[in-house]
Amino acid sequence: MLVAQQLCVHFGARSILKDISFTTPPGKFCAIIGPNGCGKTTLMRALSGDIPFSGEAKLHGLGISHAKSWELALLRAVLPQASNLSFPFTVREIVKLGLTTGVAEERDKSDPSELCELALGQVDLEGFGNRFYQELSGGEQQRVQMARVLCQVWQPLLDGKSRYLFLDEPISSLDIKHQIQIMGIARDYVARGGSVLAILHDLNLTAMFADTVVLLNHGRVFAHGSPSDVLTTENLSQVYQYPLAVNTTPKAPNIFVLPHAASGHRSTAELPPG
Amino acid sequence: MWVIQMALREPASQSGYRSGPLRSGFLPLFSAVAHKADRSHLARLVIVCLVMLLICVFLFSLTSGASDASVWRLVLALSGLTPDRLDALDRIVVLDIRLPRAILGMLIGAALAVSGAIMQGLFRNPLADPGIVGVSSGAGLGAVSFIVLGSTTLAPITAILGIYAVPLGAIFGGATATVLLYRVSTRNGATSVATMLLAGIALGAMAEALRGILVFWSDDNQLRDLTFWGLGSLAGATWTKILAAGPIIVAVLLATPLMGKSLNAMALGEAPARHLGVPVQRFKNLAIIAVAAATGAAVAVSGGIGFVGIVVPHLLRLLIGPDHRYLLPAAALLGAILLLLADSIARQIVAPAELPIGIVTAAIGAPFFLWVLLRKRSLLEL
Repeated sequence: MLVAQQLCVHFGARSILKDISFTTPPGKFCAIIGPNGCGKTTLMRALSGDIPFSGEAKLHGLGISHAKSWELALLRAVLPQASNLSFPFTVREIVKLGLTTGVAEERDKSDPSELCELALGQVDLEGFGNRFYQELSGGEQQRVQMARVLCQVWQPLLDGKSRYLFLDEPISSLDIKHQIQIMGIARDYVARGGSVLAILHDLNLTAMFADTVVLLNHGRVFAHGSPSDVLTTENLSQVYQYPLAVNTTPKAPNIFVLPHAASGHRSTAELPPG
Repeated sequence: MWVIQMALREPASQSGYRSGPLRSGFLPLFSAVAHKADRSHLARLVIVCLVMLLICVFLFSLTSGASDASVWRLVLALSGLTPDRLDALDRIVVLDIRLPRAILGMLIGAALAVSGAIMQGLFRNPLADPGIVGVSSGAGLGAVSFIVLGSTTLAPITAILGIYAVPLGAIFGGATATVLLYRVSTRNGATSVATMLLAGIALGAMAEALRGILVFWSDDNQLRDLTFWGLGSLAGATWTKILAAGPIIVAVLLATPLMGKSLNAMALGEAPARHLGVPVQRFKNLAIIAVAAATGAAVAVSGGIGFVGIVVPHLLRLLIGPDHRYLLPAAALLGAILLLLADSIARQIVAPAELPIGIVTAAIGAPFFLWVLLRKRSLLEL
């Protein structure tokens, strides 16, 4: 259970997050969405224990602001938005860093190198183990980091507690196939008892994969609830300050947002000659 | 000989530190292929080779020199295998001149290389070196303060610290410089290379200026001490110096196995390291103290010996990769080897006189540093 209560963050005199309160029950996929600069990443950093905040944030009853880093590391792994590396590590060496703080029994059960290969296979990077991280493309690097994060909390449950994946824009530099693949991994993690907190920009994938959605605007929670409750034409148009239209697929009620369907939007695509 | 034992213990404790599974699972084919290219095996092999090389170089440095004292005769005599009585001159040359010098050389080489490697890991950049970014200058200022003011202004402190006054003064100076440098060049967990190098120059210049004032104040006797000290030489190696600097350096070397994993995690950045469970703030304090202690102790007894801290870790990273669990012990070994070799060159190139070893390491190290700089130019443009 991840609970945030009246969480506020100030950078100097500027207030970035104001009075954030929400709860993500274990075994759920919670997406944080909102326009650029609304405080999504700051919220993630506060919940990861990186920056000081007022108010309260607890992970399974453990106060995030004063927990020891290894206590938190056992319960959650964090995928950073972008990572650059200072030394020429290979992909396998990076993924193995995820095992730095494994639980002892878990590590003894499975061979660490095997776990690395499994994780790399999951993110579609089988056979990349000996490549240099710095030589990979941005999207591949992001997937290597995802494999590392998966290794850190490989078993979704630890002593009956659901472990968390904190993903900061996990699919921002991926192609569509890998976007869906990574979201599928997160979904699968949730299905096996784990929990996911992800910052996302793609509203359609949010609607497809998330159980609950937190919509942030100007450092406040604008709406919080199931995708169908939060992703409405009114909410989105107001928060993104752009006329967006939310539609539903006819059969299974899936929500989708097409920029073309936005009211008042005129297609700029040129018609083919003739 | 205890130094060799210590050097030998390092790789052993490293392989114990790393748990078994890596070596075991050769069953699946893909894993066998993967293991083949795994650099950790190479790293272990390199460490074993370095240990053997260090023993050879150590023995060589005991045998070579202006006098033809033979280490073999000495060993035989000491072990009681031959009835020969030990030649008194041999005994003095080997036991009181060459042996302390070789041991001090190994300790200082290991200290400089390890502190370079730790600092590069901490600052997340391969150009950080205690000599280049002003840590050695800070340590030098601390040492000079105690040489010049030790019997006057700082007398009460000297009275308490005894022979450790100069090394501890150097450590304090080095630590101050490292903390300042880290504060200046690191923002939000990322270190700016340009800021670090420039701040290092400024810090170094400040320390040198203060040191200049102290030198200006010093009397003739102190001036003589300072000149010999500042040249960077192992010539004055005595058992007393080993007693003063040795324990500090050995303590840092023994602490390195605790730092390997955390330094690896730090390569991802401060926040990801914390997310992996590294107590980042505590670790940074430990690393800064280790760098300052090793640099300070080395500078206190040998003056400025530059570039070992950048050349050694860089060569090793090319060879075995940047995994600090292997890099740190390998750096200690290679640092010791290189310094012993440099000292042999320094002693023999103008025999029977000798060149300060700092000149030899700078002559080799400075062009090497330029070469690294040219290869890593993209890093500076960050």
